[in-house]
Amino acid sequence: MPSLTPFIDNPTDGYPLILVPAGEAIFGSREDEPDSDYDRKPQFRVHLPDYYLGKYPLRNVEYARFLEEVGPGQSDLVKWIQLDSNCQVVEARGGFWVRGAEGKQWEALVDDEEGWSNHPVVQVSWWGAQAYCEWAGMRLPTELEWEKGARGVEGEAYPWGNEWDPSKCRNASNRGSGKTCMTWAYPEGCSVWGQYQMVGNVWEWCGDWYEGNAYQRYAKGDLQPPASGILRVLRGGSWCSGFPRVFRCADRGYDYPGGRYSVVGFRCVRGPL
Amino acid sequence: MPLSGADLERLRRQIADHTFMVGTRRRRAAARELVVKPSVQTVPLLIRALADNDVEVKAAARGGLSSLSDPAAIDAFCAAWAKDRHPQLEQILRARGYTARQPVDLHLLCACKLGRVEEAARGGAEVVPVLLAALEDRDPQVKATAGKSLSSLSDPAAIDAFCEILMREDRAGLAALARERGWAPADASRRCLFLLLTDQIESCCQMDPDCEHLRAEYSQADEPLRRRIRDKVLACGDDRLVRALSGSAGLDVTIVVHERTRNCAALFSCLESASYRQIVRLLDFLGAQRWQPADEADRLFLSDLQALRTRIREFGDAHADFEGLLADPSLDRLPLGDVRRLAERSQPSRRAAALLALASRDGGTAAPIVANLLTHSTWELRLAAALAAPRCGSGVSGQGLAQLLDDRNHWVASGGVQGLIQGLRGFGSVEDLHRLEDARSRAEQRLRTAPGQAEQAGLVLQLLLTVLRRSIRDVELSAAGEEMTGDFDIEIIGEP
Repeated sequence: MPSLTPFIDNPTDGYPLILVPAGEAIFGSREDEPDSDYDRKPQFRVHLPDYYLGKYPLRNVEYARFLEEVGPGQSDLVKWIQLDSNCQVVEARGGFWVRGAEGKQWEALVDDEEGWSNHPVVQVSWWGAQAYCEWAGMRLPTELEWEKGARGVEGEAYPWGNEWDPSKCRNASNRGSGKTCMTWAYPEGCSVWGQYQMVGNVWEWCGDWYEGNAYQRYAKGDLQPPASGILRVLRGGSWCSGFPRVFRCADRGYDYPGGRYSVVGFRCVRGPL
Repeated sequence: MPLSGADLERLRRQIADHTFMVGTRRRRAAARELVVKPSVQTVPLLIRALADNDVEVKAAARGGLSSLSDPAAIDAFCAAWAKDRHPQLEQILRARGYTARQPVDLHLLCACKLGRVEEAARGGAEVVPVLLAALEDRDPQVKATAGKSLSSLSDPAAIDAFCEILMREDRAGLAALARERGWAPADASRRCLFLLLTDQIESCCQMDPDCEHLRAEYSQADEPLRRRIRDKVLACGDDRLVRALSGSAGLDVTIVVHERTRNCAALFSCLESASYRQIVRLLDFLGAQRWQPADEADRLFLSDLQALRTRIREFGDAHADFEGLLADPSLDRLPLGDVRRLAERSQPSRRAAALLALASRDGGTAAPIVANLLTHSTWELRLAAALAAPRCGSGVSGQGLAQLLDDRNHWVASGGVQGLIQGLRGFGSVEDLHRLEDARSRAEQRLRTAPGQAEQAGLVLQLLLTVLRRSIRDVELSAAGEEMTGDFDIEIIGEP
């Protein structure tokens, strides 16, 4: 059987994705691990099929272009994203743009290193993330997909290994007066598959409902994601986080799906294949 | 009298005036004024007026644009047409037969659109790339005239330029045209090479019976052209040409010569200077011939290699598309300096693509950049460097590549193995032997996450070590003394 292409660009929006090859991987935290709450225990192995996980968190340029093409009504727009001063997607000149790049061609912004185009989109709700994925023919990752993408098959604590190293991701200790950073910053912190910023910079929405004992069920072989809930899973920590615990790949965050925050973005997935 | 700046500004405002009730009247007045003296300044305003909803404004604009006489205004009109190919502008261009004077590409585009074959074919070398590009134009009429114009080239400089392009690019249809017209470069040496590269082998041999021209051209050619010459010579199967190049074209051609004559002893002697791919080819050939060396030690050596060979699959092919995935064909059109700048600074994917493009075009320039990037913190750059390294000759050390075998990134480790295997020509000393051994042990560490791949890497490296040990046996082993004679035998990692 021919092997799958390691890297693809999503046809609708050109969003780059990297293959996470099929196979068994380690999830969750061991009992003796520090700062580990009950909801990320126990540690267990699960086989996941091939899937493609976004190389970066979704960027402002991609979300602005989506809004421009879809042209949402006011009620959808407000539900999806909060266009305030913390958000670098703006509504101007009768359309949607990246702040400071109003009127510029989208293609010209792909390599932009100075402006906000290549920072992750924030202030976007779970609904806004979901709407983007549906439009682009992708979806949000399940939390197991997110976790394998972040920590590889060996269940390492952080994308770069087992030791906490604040210089390898965007966090409260190294952001200075800034907030988010460009999506290709901190290359030393990439996952083994090559995804940038699986931890740090922005929390990322996952597709799953949050359920406190989900990992205990998964460990027993029941891999059905929660069918309902009131909270959605968030992973990875952000530029604002200061505790190493939240950057551990097994750490599970959550929030109401309608929440729109300057520390939350998302990344997309395609598959399984 | 050209319009003053103030008048022009007034007309610009007026022609865009859509104020309720009065706008139409103002636009009509402006259009009438513009038509009186159409000039290079007013062409953009007239073109804008041509798109107006009002019939009167539109008609006035059409009249103005149809009565251009100032050559600069015609140039501006043609440039506007070429940019958008708007049907209304095209209608005027054809009706009035407008042709821009300059630049040359615009001039030729207009001539092609108007079917003026002779005018398009009249120029020198500068028309050739433009006409070739026009062959890809979306307008069938432009395409057709460009084709006819190329067939009608008569200027020797144009024909030379045409032939030079054919020597660089595989364009079968155009090569057939050149053959049909009997075109070839004026310079004898270039002509000989042109004949070879356009499959006129017999004429090439007649013209250059001792292959002196061919050898001279090969020695002066850059790497992409050399590759084309080698491929053509190997594909045409003419022994004389193959032999002519074997002295300068490297081991590939020598191997072909000896394979043709089934000179197994000579092929066996090639093993020690061969790259991994060549070793595999030699072993396969010698195995198929069931040839055995007379000397006992040689027999043992060959049998060791063949035993390893049977366990090695075609390694590295699983992700042979890495390079295609990272490459960006649009970079081929950029000047080398720009590509180099991009390889040194831009976003990671772009840098990776630029690095590969640079190494393809100029391995020597790329070598120091590649060597640096093998240890870069960004995995895409390490991967691109691994893939680019084989094109940089000895400018990139095997040690740098060997480090990639245990790279943390899944894809770099795979690409690193490919690069190492393809780029192992530089190994030839005791130090290199140690590097290979080091690389093999790194491959062993990869067993944890990619057992099949690591086993194959181990086998490949073991094969190379066996050859290398023999090649340096007499020269350096004695100097290395006991350090080399101890327990250097390497276990093959993994199980087949």
